[in-house]
Amino acid sequence: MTLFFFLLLLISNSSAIAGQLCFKRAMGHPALVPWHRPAWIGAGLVGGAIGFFFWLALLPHFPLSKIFPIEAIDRPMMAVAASVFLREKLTTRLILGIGVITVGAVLVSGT
Amino acid sequence: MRSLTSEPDRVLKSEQSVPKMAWYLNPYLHIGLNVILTAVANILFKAGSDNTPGGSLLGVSSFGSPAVWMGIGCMICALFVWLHALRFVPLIIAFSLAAATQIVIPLGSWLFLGEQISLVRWAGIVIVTLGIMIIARPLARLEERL
Repeated sequence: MTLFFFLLLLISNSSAIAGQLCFKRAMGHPALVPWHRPAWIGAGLVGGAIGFFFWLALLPHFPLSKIFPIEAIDRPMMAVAASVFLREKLTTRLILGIGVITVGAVLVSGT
Repeated sequence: MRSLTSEPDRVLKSEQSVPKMAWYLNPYLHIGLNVILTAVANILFKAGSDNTPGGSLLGVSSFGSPAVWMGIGCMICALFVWLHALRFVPLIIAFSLAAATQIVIPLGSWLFLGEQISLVRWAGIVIVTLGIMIIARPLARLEERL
């Protein structure tokens, strides 16, 4: 996998994660103004859609068994993003659990 | 004077922020529903697209299949239960618990589509289960206390 395709994968994952951050922003706080929730949910859907289209652009170039295991880096990426942007608490237990899940996800999707 | 009157208000507000919920509104139940609906949707997508002629751009021909439309319905329901869960559960925890799709999709494909699961994939399923248990255990204890 060249650096270019790895960057495409990072963009795909980052967009999907940004979408999830928007969903959490929509639901995690009381709606301050009437359009608050629909606007953030809409932004989340757009983020998810952008991630999906970058994913579609990647798919023809690699066999699924090669690309899916690398996609599993979205788990640690999400942990970092949620702790940085949403200030969610990242405990040792959570880090351990996410590490184990990532290893398992690589094995499930890579074979 | 102001501080005396605002104190009970503050206590009342903090109590209200942890609402007593009916069992069917439990956010962890909704994360479980999200996992099941996502798995069912993917199995329906696979079953539906297998029964339609391939070769078209982005699988557009699969939209003629009722199974694919049922899958889309499942994905929409999955989004709603996910949004409900996010009202109460931190994103890191919800996203990590939703990794259960890595268990349910291979098992569902094995049971309903007759796909084979290799030894390495079984090992992955066991490891993902272990990771979810590491994260879910303190949550289960917290739920018991409530």
